[in-house]
Parts: sequence; structure tokens; C-alpha cells
Amino acid sequence: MLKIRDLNVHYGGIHALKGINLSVPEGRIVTLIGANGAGKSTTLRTVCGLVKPSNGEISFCGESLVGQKTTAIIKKGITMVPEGRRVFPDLTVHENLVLGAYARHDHKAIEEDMERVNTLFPRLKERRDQLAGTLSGGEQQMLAVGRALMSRPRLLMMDEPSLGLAPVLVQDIFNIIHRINNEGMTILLIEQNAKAALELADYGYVLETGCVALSGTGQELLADDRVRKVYLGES
Amino acid sequence: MTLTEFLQHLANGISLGSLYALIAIGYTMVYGIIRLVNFAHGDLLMVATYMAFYGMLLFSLPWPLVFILAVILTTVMGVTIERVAYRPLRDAPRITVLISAIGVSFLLQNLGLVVFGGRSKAFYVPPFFATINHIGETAVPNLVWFIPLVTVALLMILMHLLYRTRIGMAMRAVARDLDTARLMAIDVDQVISFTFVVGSSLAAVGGLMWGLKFPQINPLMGAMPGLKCFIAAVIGGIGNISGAVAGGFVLGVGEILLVAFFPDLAGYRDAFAFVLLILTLLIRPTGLLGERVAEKV
Ligand SMILES: Nc1ncnc2c1ncn2[C@@H]1O[C@H](COP(=O)(O)OP(=O)(O)O)[C@@H](O)[C@H]1O
Ligand SMILES: [Mg+2]
Repeated sequence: MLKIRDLNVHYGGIHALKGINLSVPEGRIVTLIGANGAGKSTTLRTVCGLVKPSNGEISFCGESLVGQKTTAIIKKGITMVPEGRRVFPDLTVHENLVLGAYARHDHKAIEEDMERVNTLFPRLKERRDQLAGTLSGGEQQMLAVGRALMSRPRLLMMDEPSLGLAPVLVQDIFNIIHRINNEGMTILLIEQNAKAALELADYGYVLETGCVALSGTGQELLADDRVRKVYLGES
Repeated sequence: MTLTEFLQHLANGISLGSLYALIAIGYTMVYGIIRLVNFAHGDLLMVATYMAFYGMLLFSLPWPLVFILAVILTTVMGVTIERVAYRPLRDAPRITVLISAIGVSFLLQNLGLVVFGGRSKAFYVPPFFATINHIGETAVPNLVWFIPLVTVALLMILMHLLYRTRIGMAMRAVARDLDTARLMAIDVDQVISFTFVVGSSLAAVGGLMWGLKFPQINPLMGAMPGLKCFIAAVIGGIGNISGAVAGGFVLGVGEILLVAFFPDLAGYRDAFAFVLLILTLLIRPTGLLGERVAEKV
């Protein structure tokens, strides 16, 4: 569904991505793990058109995304839950969700999706008219995911959704990801929590300083010696 | 000073404050959304009054129609300025865009000098506005209550727009977080253009009322009010619309009362704004209602 070929990204003089290859098949969960600064966020931001690649190819369902505006890319059915949640703090929970569906005009379907998000996250329904900035970290993460679902995406990309959350909430997030995927959503997941991510994912990539160092099924990577040492903290 | 005199000054202050508020909103909204001090904003006052002046002189159209056309044309001008002078510099450092804004301001002023001539012209004031009404002992021309009335009406429309419409929600989102707004498939350029529509039309209305209040117009007339309204926006907390309105009123009422109570200081009238600005920056740099705004890259 999503294919990245030989992608290079520079920030001024910094060579952040050095020719990475990656693909996300339809209906699967693919995870991208790696240390801080490896280039994980950059990869997702480039797919969304927020960062311009210096060269390389990104295609979604056979269509090239390189050079397209973010608005156009989102309309094709890609969405991202950004790192750090980035809900709009001075907008209400409901307004945040409405913005998620900003590009859509199928009012009936939007209502359905609103219902679906409210069933998925009952807390958001209770806090409908509260400013998003007053939510707890966990609730904000739910809102960020709910907002992303409101665009009715075909590919959902998530940048460290469990960052800074209490362990019980982390489990909640992983359950939600699992559930959304079971309903047919394709997911590209960035995680610091490598163990949980690899257990959940069909396929994983390990990124090291802008290069794909390793890739394999979740099980293969979990069994790999290097992964175990560096990312799972085992000796 | 008698109570009557005080009320008269207060009414004058509120009406001047309304004008400052209307114009300050444009500064604050543009700053809020693209972090730019739009130096050309004040010159839109001048553009609006000259359009009205020539509309009446050359085409002898009735004044209400002329005023509406002047507002529309000034708005088109404001949006065009964004399109040609700021948008191509969207990814450039902020100082570059700022210099571009100063350039546009000089361009408008000097173009005004060349096209309209440097001599002041008398702006036509329809008799309705000059008619004096007595409220008790206080004598005020219609214009003095008309200006705050128009301002309040426009503010209500603006609040409705911002908090009850789709585009208003998008404007608040873009002002808060540009990249995340893009992820919502919001067309950021379109929202920015719309922000200039709102700011420029308010400045145009403010400019026309300015012309009615001070009916001598010249090509540099926008500079000082522009500067003061920018100060009003900073005093209120730049980026914050209620703050700009509050700052406008504080400045307008303060300026008039200062001169009323201390006639000797009349010559320092314009300095009042700058003193207030310095005090604000020293005591409360984020302004009356401002919060720390994140630097945008
Ligand atoms: N906006 C930016 N400007 C300059 N350098 C950046 C920017 N964003 C990220 N980088 C650099 O690019 C590299 C990859 O960053 P990032 O993609 O955020 O890594 P990760 O998400 O894996 O932690 C890092 O070296 C980081 O310092
Ligand atoms: Mg990151």
C-alpha cells in the first residue's frame, strides 16, 4: 500500500535519512523502531509532505506522493498522529474531532465516524465540550487518535503514541491499535516501547542513524540477538 | 473639570479607542497566524480613505455606496499584498518577511505621494455624522456614538466567525499549530488569505471612520495610527484578539484623558502610546491578555 524507495532527507547540512526502503502492505501493522534521532519521525513527516525529501520515491496505492501538498496527501487517505499528540489545546474536544474531518463533506458518514470514535473512547464523549488543553496526557492521546480516525484514513501512521503515558494507559493504547487494525486499518507505528510494538506488529524495521539496519517479522526481530541487546535491554 | 466635560472626553476616548481596536485586530490576527508584524496594515487606512475620496469626487456616487466599495477594494488590496509580498516568502526567515512588509508600507506611502500628491485633502463628512446631539448637558456629534456602535457590531460578527464557523475553527487551529493544521487537510494558504480579508476589511472600516473623525487626509496618514494600533496589539498581548480590543480602548481612552487632565501635555499626545508600550514591555512583556506564544520556525 505504502512504498518508500531510497528516500533521502536533509535538514540543512544534516543528512537525516540516508536512502531508506520500506513498505507497508494493506491491512498490516508495520512498526519502525530505533533510538532517538534515528530518523523515525522524519520518515513519517516526509510521507505526509511536511518535510521535502532531497530524493527518493514515496508511493501510496501506486500514486507518487513526492512534491504533493500535505492537504492533498491527507485527502488520499493517509493520516498521522504526530509525536507529542499535538491536540489543539484551546479548541474543545469536539472541535478537535471536527477538524479531523475538515476535508470531508459527507455529513452522514462524518456523524457515523463521530459515533465510532465516541464508542472507542467513551472518555472523549464525556469531555466533549471541554478544552483539549485541560485533558490528561492519556486523554489527549485518545483525542489525537480519534481525531486522526475522523478523516476516515486508509493508512494510519502513529508517532510514539505511548510516549509519557502510565503503563496501564500504554496497554490501552496498544489494545486500541490492535482493535483498529482488526477492523481493517493499515498501520505504520513508531514506538520507543520496542517489545510491545514488535509483539503487535506483522513486520518491523530497525532504523539507525538514518539507515534501515534490520528488518523482519515481529517474531524474527524479537528473536534477533542485536535487537534483544540494544532495544530490549536484555543481556 | 465638570462631570459633563469628563463624560464628553470619555465619549471621545471610547470612540478613538474603538478605531484603535478595529485596526489593532488586523495586526494581532496576522501576527497570530504567520508571526509577522504587517507594517503595511496601517497604510490600508490611507488607501481606504483615498478610494472613498476619489469615489465621491470623480464618480459622484452616494457616500454609503462609496464606503462599501472602498472597503471591498481595500480588502482586495490587503489580500493581494499577502499574495505577492508575503506568501512567496513563506519558508524564508521571519526577518525577510518583515523587511518585505516594511517595503510594502514605503511603497504604498510613496505611491500615494506620487499619485495623490502630498497636500492634505478635505475628506467629505456627510451631515448626519456632524449633527450634534445633546445627551443631558453633554453635546456629542453623531459620529462619536456611531463609531463604537459599528465597532461593537463588527466585533460580534468577528466572534461569531471565529467561534461558530468552520473557517473560524480552521483559523484558530492554524494560529496555534501550523503543521498539525496541515495534517487536518486544512488549506493553510487559504486560511491565511482569509485572515487578511478579515484584518484588511476591519482596517478599511476603521480608516473610513478615521477620515470622518479627522477629515484631513494625506498619503502618510496611516503611519502614526498604524504604529499606535500595533502598540495597542502589543499592550493587549499580541496574537490575542480580545487583547487587541482591550489595548485599543486603553490607548484611546488613556490618550484623550491624559490631554483632558493635563492640557500642558497635549504636545506629547503621541508619546503616550510609546510610554505605555515601554511600561508594558518592562512590567508585563506578554501584554494584558497575552500568553507566551511559541516561536514558529
Ligand atoms: N526540524 C529539524 N531541523 C533540523 N534537524 C532536524 C529537524 N528534525 C529532526 N532533525 C534531525 O534529524 C535527525 C532525525 O530526527 P527524527 O526524525 O526526529 O528522529 P526520531 O524520530 O527517530 O527520534 C536527528 O538528528 C535530528 O536532530
Ligand atoms: Mg521522533
